[in-house]
Amino acid sequence: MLRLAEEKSATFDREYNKARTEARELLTSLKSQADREQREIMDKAKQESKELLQAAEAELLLEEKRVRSELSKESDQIKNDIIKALMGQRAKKMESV
Amino acid sequence: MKNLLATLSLVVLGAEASLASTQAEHSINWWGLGSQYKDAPALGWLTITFVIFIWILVRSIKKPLSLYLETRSNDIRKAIEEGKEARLRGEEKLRLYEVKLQSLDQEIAKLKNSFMEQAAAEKAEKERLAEEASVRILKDTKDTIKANYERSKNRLAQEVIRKALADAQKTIMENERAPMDDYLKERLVSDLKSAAKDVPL
Repeated sequence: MLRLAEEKSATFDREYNKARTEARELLTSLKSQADREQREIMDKAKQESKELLQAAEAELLLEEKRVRSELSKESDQIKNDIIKALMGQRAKKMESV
Repeated sequence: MKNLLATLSLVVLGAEASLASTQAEHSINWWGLGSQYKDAPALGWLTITFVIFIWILVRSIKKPLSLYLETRSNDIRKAIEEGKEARLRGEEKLRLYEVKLQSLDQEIAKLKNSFMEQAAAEKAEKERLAEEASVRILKDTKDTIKANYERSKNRLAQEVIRKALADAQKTIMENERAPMDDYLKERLVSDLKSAAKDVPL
């Protein structure tokens, strides 16, 4: 009777340990899959960020080029304002003298 | 003991009876002693001697024998009880493991479910962290773009001012140099004078 009980106990332990090992392997596999998915999400985000940054830089360069030609007019205007201001001060001074 | 003595008596009586049947041929010596009876020893005395021998033997070994038998009986009883207990334990263990074996599939399913839940929770947590990191990366990228834009704007403004100043200087140097020199000199002198007034003597 005891031997039979021990045999059943050994069978139980063996089957249980086998199932436990299988479940552990499954868990490890799922964990590595989750890690891989996490890395994929991060890589995707980094790639998107990189593309966004590159597109923004390209757009900024174009915009700078466009704005720079427009700003040359502004520069002339500012130059004239400076000269006008200086000359105006001089004229006022001469009048006061 | 009494049974043994009774059995011996019966044996002796039986022997006497069988001897009596052969009395016709030989005369039986029951109580005669001496050299003339050397071919036919006295059966009566032999019987008595044998009975006394048996009585002494029984008397001398009765106690140890009964003690041995009692001990042996106790041992056997104890062994039987232990066997019964072991049997009960074995039956209990067997029943327990039969139940366990029957529920083994459930136990395994429970174990696997537990592991699957653990894995799902870890996966969800990792996905959440990854999503948070993605949002953070995107926000950082947008901030970087905005900062680049601001830097570019400032650089352009500086360029415009620098160019305007340079052009203004160039124009003045080319066209209005002498009057501007005079004006600046006067302005310098005037500033020095006003500054000298403020200095305490």
